[in-house]
Amino acid sequence: MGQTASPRYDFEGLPLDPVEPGTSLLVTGPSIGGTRELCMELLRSEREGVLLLSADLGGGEAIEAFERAGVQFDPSRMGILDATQHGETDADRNVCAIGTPADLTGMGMHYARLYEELHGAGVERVRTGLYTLTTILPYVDDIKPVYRFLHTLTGRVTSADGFGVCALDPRTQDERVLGSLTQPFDGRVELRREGDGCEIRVRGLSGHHDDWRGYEPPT
Amino acid sequence: MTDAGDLTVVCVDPDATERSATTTVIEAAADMDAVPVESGEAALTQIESGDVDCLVAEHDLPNHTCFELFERARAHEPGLGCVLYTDASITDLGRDAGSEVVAEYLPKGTPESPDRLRNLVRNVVVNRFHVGYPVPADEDARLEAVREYDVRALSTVETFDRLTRLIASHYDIAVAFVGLIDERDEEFIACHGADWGTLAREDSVCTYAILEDDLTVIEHVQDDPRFEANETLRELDVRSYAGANLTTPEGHTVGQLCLIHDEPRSYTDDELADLRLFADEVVEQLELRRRLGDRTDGPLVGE
Repeated sequence: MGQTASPRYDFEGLPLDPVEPGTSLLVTGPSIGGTRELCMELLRSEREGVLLLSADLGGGEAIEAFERAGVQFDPSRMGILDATQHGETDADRNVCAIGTPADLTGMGMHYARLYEELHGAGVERVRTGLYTLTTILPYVDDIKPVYRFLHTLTGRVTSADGFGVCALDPRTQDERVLGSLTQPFDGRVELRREGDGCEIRVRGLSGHHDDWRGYEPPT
Repeated sequence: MTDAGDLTVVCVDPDATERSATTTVIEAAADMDAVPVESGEAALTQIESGDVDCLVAEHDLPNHTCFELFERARAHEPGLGCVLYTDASITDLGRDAGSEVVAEYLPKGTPESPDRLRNLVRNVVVNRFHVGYPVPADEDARLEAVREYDVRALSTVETFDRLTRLIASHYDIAVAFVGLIDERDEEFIACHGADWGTLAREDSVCTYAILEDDLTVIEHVQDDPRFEANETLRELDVRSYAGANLTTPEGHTVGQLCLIHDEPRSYTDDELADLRLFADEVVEQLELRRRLGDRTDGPLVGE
């Protein structure tokens, strides 16, 4: 649970109220059409640390996605774990290749390393993103390691007063699996296409609106 | 001497000097007890002999690496916290286990390392970093409630033996049980139709059922993607499942009353309404005996 003395994480320009430190959110929405952009905007910060575990976007693509969301990529406080099949390490830009979305061991270890490096550099507030769980799930036979992995991410967020966001396309999952995968998170942000735009709403986070609100992804 | 409630941390390092240093770091925490061992085999012996909360290991161990140790340790203690505390660079780490061994990594040798290790171990255990299943939001209070309903101290078993026998007959099913879900296992306090004592929480359907509002029905367990890879359920011949929450008056779900069958089956609304009534009866019995137990220390609650 976050300490009340620590300021909340805010989301400038998004129809989402600030959240308490230690909060992790599951973002559910279609893979194409706003979810990626929303995740990047939730991670947007001028000063805080940002760690992205990316199973869908290579390091370069992830940096471009950050920039489209208005984030100037700063390797001194930001890092990317590139878990795509053909990822390449780029130390200058703090991009670390994992090799495959199936390697939960590697992702967990390097995430811990990056977190410790940020902490050692004096970065106290860190936003963590996992984009996307949808891509990781087909690679694992058993769901138990997935829970360990998610508990590790959300546990770090909780214990370090951070903020976490994890994307999942609900259409790719059995409803029962989706329900239980929601559990490690404090709340859920749902995204849907509506006409030419998008709408989001928050579920399960006390004190937050749960009505649909318009969201315009950056282009 | 180990204080009750302290975290037991097994420190594995083949180098005596390094092992001693890690042990000293852990022992410096008022809430932790260190158990130094020199090999993975010794660590496993320790894990098998008692409650261990966390494993802190160097990478290179005699005969294998820490990853194989973590994998083997979790085969015995599924939710065990595992921390790699090492001199080795992360890019040089060899791996001799699968790609699903989720563990923490912390380098030795920085001025902050001792503090970070103690914080990390505490967080791994307290925040349940490495459990392989979903955990209810009220878990700490729920576990406290489970301890209050310790049926071994409440002489309730015979009552539930009779009840589960009647329930199995009522539904014409293979197994009926009352299970309480503690920190690591589900304990079957009464089980008609099978000889089950405990089941690791990560293998139990009830672990998922206690997250639901009330009743959980899974007509074909092996068709449910959450359990399709679960060999334990297959071996126990758990093909269909219906469970009702056992929820205390304070609102904590301590366990399940369950109907298990050895082939897929469904239940009518009336049958499920009966299951709810049976579960209410179990909760009443548990509550009654808990209150009777309180009489040794004072009057019945509400008197």
